[in-house]
Amino acid sequence: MEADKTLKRTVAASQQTVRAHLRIVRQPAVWFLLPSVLILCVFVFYPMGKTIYNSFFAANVRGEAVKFVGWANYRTLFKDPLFLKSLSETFVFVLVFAVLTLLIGIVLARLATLKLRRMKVFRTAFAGTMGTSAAAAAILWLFLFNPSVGMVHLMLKAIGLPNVNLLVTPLGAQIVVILTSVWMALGFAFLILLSAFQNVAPEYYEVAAIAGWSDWQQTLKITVPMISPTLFFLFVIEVIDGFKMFAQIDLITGGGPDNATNFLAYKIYLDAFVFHHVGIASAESVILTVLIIFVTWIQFHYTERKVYYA
Amino acid sequence: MSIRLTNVSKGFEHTQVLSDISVTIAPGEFFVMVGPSGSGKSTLLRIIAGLTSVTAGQIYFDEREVTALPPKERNLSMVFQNYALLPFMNVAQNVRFGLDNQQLSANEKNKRVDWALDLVHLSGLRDRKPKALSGGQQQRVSLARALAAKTPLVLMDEPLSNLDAQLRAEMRAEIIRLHREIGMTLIYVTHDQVEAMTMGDRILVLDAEQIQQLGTPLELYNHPANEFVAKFIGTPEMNIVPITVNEHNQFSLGTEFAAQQAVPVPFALPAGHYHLGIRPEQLVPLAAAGTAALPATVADVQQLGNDTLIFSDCNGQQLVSRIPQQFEVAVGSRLQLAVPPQKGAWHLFDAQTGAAIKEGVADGGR
Amino acid sequence: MNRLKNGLQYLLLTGVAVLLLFPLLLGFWASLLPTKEIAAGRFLATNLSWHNYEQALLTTPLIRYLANSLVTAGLITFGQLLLCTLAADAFVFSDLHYKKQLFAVFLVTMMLPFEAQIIPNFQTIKAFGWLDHYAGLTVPFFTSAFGVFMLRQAFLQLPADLVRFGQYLGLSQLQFLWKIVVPYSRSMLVTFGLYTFLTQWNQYLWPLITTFSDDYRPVQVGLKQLQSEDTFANWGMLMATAMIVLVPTLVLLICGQKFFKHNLNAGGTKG
Repeated sequence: MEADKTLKRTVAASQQTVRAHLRIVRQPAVWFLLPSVLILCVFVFYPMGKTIYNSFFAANVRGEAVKFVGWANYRTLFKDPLFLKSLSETFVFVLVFAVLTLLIGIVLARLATLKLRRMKVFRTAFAGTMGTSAAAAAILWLFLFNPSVGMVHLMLKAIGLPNVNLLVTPLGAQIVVILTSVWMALGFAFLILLSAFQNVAPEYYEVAAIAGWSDWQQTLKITVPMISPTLFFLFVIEVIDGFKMFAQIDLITGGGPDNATNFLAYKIYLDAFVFHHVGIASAESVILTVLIIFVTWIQFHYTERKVYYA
Repeated sequence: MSIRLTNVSKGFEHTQVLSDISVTIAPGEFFVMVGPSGSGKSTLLRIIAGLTSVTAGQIYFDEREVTALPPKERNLSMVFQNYALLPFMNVAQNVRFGLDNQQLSANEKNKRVDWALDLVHLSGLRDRKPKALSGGQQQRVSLARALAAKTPLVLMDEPLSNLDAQLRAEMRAEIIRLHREIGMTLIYVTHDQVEAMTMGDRILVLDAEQIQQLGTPLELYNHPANEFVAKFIGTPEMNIVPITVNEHNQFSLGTEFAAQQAVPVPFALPAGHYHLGIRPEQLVPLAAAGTAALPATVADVQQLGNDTLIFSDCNGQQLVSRIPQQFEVAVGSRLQLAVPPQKGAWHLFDAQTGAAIKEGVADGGR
Repeated sequence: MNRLKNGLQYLLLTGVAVLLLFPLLLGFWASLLPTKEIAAGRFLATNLSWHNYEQALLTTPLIRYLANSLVTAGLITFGQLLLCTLAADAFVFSDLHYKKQLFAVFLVTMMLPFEAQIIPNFQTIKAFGWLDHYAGLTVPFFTSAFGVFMLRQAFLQLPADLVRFGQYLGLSQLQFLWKIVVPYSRSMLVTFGLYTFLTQWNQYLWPLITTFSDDYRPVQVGLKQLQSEDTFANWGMLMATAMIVLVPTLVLLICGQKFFKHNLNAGGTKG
């Protein structure tokens, strides 16, 4: 009891955190770290190394590397129109996905910061797609775009448009996958942007209101520049997420039609587990890794510099 | 530009912030609104700016009613406590920000920016970002932004509160100079009574939703309308103690008359209970015991160098005296505190309401 | 005038909210409709019932899938809370040679996409005989660099005097962790636990590859199974299933709202 009281007093008395005094308790910590290190070694470092290793080998059907082939897998890939198509479609998808998510997120955050009562209801609704699993989201959107019973097609029919099955056209399938992905990402993006919006001091808007700036001018010329670090951070997160997109594709299009949605992460899965081209899939994995490391590096590099922050 | 508020009230969902405020501000006046935090002074300023709506009442600028107009149609500018400089714009861009939506030629805008920066002595820093400026410099930029718009009315909401004491004194002088040079109507909100006293042509004291008093600095100091104003204006605070006066024009401290401590009142005062206020500088110790003196025991002494503050206990009442020189006295020693003979040094308040009692007393002031 | 503007804004907000939630709302509505009405495109039918839910729970392995997901996500959450806490504690409070370097190595793993490691991992799990088993589903995820990083940040916020006080009491490192660090960082631990459970509940790729039977298949992959098995497209039941899968995440999000909000704010703005 006494100790508890002292403890509370101690906490209250000190604003200093451990940050300033990193080495205070001196005790062996190996046992604390060992389980984590072990798991990371077995399930992250070893497989990463093995993937790089495999990418220089031809593999048999069971996925065992049997013959060193140097850069042959990579050369094959970069001559393969299917891979090049997948890569370019992936870039387009990732960009459209990230930009759309951000733009809609900004609009939602702006709407959710209107000065009205009961905004909490709308904020909850706007964040409502957060936590929706990719599988459930995919099923919902599949239903929406189903050619025979889907709401979208019923509506098209109702206004007298031809009943096209979007999912069998390449562009249509891409649109559906992008919509589903953006829809899923919006909840999180909205919450992050909302808190960024709310962190902009109200005085800025008051100065602008006195100077005669309209609401939209204020959003574009004050809010957006003010939250640019958050926007950049979110953009990078969405880009990385975009590169890893898998479940929606597997459930909605299966990479088709005509490989239109066979984005990189999905192609790795197909090449490895459906076609058993382990060498090729490994080379693709390495390329995916390089892309993601590159994007992350850009973030580290620019967060400190080009993007404004007070 | 003159500003007139008539019966302005403001309430939020469950709380009343301002009740029935009426006041007229003259063109070119340096008008200070002062009060403790939560007194509604900032709300009143924001109502004038058009950033907050009123629940009742009207606002007139030069006899034009502006109550329902948005801020931009009121032709005013405002300076904020936290400067509100946009961190991604440099100094010149920030000053220009206030002009961007005005119907001015680019040339005129540039001229205005140069003029305003020159006025606050920041021409050399026009390309700096706000974060590369000191707090004082940031507030100068914010002043320049308000001035560049050349509006006939400028509002300032505690503009010096974020600065340290030395800068504050410097910026106080600066704002007074700018007001004198430009001659706009200036409404200035502060919680600091020293700022209010040194800067304002007139001061509006706000507390508990209402106007406590409106007047020049000396009027407030010499004739506070009630105990709140008496205590709020002046440091150290005015001594206010309950006294009881008997039929023989004698008084003693406390709510009961104590004959053995009775002291004559230097002017005619009807018998009864009062609250007596005496400024610390009017309550000085006597060298020897006199008839019009209160015996007290020294509880604490603070040497300020130029002044000496003596805290003493008199019949259970805490009193403060300020002596404009260095003065040696031991804690625990006995003192005789002279009751000021001139009527003007006596501030009598109604024991129930705290309102100043005027008749027969106020005239005596010199 | 103002009234009108407010009204229009509410209308806009409501419109946007409905549009945004439309797939969910439609899915819920359809889950209450008999499949034959859906198949005929009669969405305005009024013979609503919970029949689809009954059918989903009783005639499909859905309950088993849900249980599998609960076990998998629960085990991983427990594992990560334990191992990440231990590792973060070591990184913050211990003297260790090459600690900084080791932490940097942990950070690097955050950049490496799991998608690029699945082939060797699949082979590893296969070699361990853990395919189609809870062990294969959970053990690879018992720690995460992100978790260690997040908890380290939280532990760094402990007041130094509190740490000195722990020392003065003569607590062992485990006691120190359990009596001081964990209670002090409770909010972050709860947030992290909720986040982990959500992420793992929604996992798809790994269980898709490593489970082959209904005995271990988690519910996300189960959804795919149900969807592809349903030759006659029993949409009503499928929608009911999707709703059932969404319920736990919604409940978690609502319960964890205050934790998420607090810790999201901290993370989001520092970016």
